[in-house]
Amino acid sequence: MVIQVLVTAISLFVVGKAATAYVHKRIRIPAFVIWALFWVAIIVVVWQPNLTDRLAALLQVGRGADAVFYLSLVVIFYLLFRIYIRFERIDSHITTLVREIAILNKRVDDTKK
Amino acid sequence: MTRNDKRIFVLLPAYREAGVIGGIVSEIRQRYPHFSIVVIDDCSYDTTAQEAALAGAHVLKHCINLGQGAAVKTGVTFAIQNAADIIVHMDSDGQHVVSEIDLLLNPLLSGKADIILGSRFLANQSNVPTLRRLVLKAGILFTWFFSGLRLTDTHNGFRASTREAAQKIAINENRMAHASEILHEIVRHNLSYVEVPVTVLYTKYSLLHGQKSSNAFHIVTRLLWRKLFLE
Repeated sequence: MVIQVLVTAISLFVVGKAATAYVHKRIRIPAFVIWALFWVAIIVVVWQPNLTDRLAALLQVGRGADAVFYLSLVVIFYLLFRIYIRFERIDSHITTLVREIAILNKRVDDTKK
Repeated sequence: MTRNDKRIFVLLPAYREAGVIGGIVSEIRQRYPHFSIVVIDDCSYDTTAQEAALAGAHVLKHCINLGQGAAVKTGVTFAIQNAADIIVHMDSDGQHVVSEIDLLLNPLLSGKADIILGSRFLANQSNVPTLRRLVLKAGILFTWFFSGLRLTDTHNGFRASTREAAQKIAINENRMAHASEILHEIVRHNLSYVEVPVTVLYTKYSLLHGQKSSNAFHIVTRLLWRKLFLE
């Protein structure tokens, strides 16, 4: 019972955060819907764990909890990969900016002389 | 074609080289008065930029520390924008011998190749420490395996290229892996190259200050990552 209440509270908190981000136009509606559905699914599964047994049967894994665990791992690693690629892109953009600023500053200094 | 007809830029990427950089810039200016010297200060928190400027270099300042690769790239862009014909890359910690710039320029001016690479192993005048020697030899094998270039030295920052070659070489690695990236670019663009023997001085200062042998692992993982996912 404790874990159900705890997970539900955390999930609702995250959905609330996503809703605030949507209201303040920091994320768009598709991102909010996907994020909200994901956390609602977590609430459903934590209250009705037997539902995951169907998923386990579908994936031919012994227990529902194992199926959720394996799928979560795949999703987490995929997200990590996406974040790393994104990080590389941001890093490259910052590099471009810093290099451009260095050259522009030099040009400004030279015109002042 | 003589060197006096050419606009020659010497690039010195520098990070915390106060006390050394001024002397190097002055020596280059004295020996090669018509060369343009560009110091790219990679966000040093000492007086590197001031000392370089006082000695007569053009100084470009990164507002964030990015690494030697990014500094080299900034210098190359600046040199190309300022109509450079020949671009020389050199370390700013005093490891390279200023008078040996001639060794790089002569084959370039006679049209022998698009890029001239300094090699510390072609003649045995460099006092390379044993561990560094082993790591560099492994680097030579790695380069041969990955790019097909059979060189006698890798990760030697003393090189010179024509403007055209510099425009083709894309440097995307901000840190030390850029040295390997340049070699891969030579192969990708089918550029002609020649290795010439140069001296690399291992002083107490350069060993404390320069690249660590343990960086080799980081360089290899960066290159593999780039090859697998980013290219």
